[in-house]
Amino acid sequence: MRKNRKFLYGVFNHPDDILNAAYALRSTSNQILDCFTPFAVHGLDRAMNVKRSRLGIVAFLMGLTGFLLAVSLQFYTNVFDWPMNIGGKPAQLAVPTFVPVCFELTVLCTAYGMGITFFLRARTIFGVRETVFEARQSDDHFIMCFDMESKSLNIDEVTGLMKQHGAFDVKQVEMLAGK
Amino acid sequence: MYESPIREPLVTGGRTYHNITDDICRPIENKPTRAWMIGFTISAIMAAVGVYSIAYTSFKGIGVWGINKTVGWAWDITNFVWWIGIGHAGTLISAILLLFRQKWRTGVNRSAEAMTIFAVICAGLFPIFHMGRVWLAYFVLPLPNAFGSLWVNFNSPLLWDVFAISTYFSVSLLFWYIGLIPDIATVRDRAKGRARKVYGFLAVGWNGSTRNWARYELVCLILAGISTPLVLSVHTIVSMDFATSVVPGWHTTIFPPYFVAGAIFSGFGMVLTLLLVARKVMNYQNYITIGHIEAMCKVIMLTGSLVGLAYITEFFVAWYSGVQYEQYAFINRATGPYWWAYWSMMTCNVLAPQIFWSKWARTTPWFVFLIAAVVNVGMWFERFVIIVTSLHRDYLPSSWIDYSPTITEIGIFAGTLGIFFTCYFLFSKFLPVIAISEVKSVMPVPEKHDLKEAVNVH
Repeated sequence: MRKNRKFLYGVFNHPDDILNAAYALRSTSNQILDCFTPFAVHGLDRAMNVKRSRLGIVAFLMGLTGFLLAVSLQFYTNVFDWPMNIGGKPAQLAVPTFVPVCFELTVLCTAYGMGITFFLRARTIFGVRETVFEARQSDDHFIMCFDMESKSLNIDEVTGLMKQHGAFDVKQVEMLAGK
Repeated sequence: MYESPIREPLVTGGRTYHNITDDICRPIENKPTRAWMIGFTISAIMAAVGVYSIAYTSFKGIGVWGINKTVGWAWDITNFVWWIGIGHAGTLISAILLLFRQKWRTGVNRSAEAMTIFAVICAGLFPIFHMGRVWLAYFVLPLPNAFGSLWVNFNSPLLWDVFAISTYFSVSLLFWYIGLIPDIATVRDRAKGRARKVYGFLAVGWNGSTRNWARYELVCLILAGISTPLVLSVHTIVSMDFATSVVPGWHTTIFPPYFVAGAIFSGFGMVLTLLLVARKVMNYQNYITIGHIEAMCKVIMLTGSLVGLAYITEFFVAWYSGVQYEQYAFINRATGPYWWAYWSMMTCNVLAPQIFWSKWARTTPWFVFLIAAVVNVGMWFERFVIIVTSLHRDYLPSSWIDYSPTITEIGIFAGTLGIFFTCYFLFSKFLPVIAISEVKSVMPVPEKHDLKEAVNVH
């Protein structure tokens, strides 16, 4: 059972404001829970110390899987199980003609392997309920959110800093939220 | 976030973030307009003609295409290659232009990707129904079967095509859908009632969290990285269907780059055709600016010149090779019974785009629309010329024959146009036709602070 959690959040209306606020908060002990923005604000992830995603490694491994799948499929069918005899020529292990299918299956497995991992990791799956603080967080409002149950959170300091950097609203809310 | 004194702004008209959301969600939230209803009805009728013709073909057999002669499959394969070519601009815009950091792609990539998907669906119909017994279409897959260990032949470019086109379709679909998620979330957050449920389901719980944006951008970058060689591979492999045969006029090593250039050329032609109408009807002149149109015209001019170079090189090599079959094939193209198709192709593809050297031509929407339409026609003739002229005069004079399409074939071609436009009309009504979140990230906004603190941290 998920229970309601209490959040503190500030609302900004300019990407530079939320970026400045995030950098200002680095020198305090307050930990930003997450920011919700209508588009990718570059630098915000670094300001929040978000670790670099490892989806690139997943993509590589998936690509390798696809490549090996294609090699073994073509080797098994056209070389091992039923060697083709074309005009008596030793064409069984025709490496150049195996290249296109190897390439295509590598790309297919990379794309879908990484895509599905992304959906699972980001918990964006069909039927998941969204965490929406304000309807306009996907329009023109930028939201910086804190977990009020966190011991290290200094509410007054956070509120002051956010307002100083251009938050036009700071609110507390109790809601059901994933993650 | 993307301003420079020497660049034209990518979004004009002093729009704010909220204006963008309003403008792009408006067609989704309002009742369809009269123009939309009329266009949709016409497309749906054409699609119905296509469905009927395809059903007729399936019941009667492919004999109704007049396929009992060497050149009988010309219409089918011409349309297949034409549609696949059109399907190249979307992934080119979203992948290659992403890697080259061409920010203007944000205004047009969504529509172009949608167009790619619909065009590949139309293209796929041709080889699938050309199989005749379409219920046995799974025979092209490497499946263990009841006929002993009889596998598909991986030495055949036709099988590579199966892999290339299905991979291209699947990856384009994934790329398109991932790109759509943040915008569907925007629509969801504005919607009420049943629409909110539907868009909420499609938005898979996206909330614009910074962690997810970081992952999202990485995924898009990697998808762009792998889609770039993919988009080049698809038409390369299509061209190998021809190039690995020994038919004069087909058996040339220039085919892969020549086909890829032609595909990008025709793809941009179709993107311009659609977007010039969409921007006018939906009032998106602030997002698809004259600058966007001009950039696409330059791509058309470049690829049109490449295609022209390929035509001339082919001719030169045919003469220089000293092979009389090859020489005959090319002279027959230009002066034989299908001279009109050859010269239509030359005029539409090589001469017409050269008008874009003029800035007036590149920046006048109605004129660009005209040239884009000419490019679409020219590229159809290119495939017709390659296929018909090489096949109607092959090595065996007893099988020399002329070609004309049957009524069923014409019905199927009209039907694919109908299916394509029906899908596009539905897309433009129910999904955001411009990438809202991407346009917001490149629009000009006043810088509020010098990011001094941010710079100090790095």
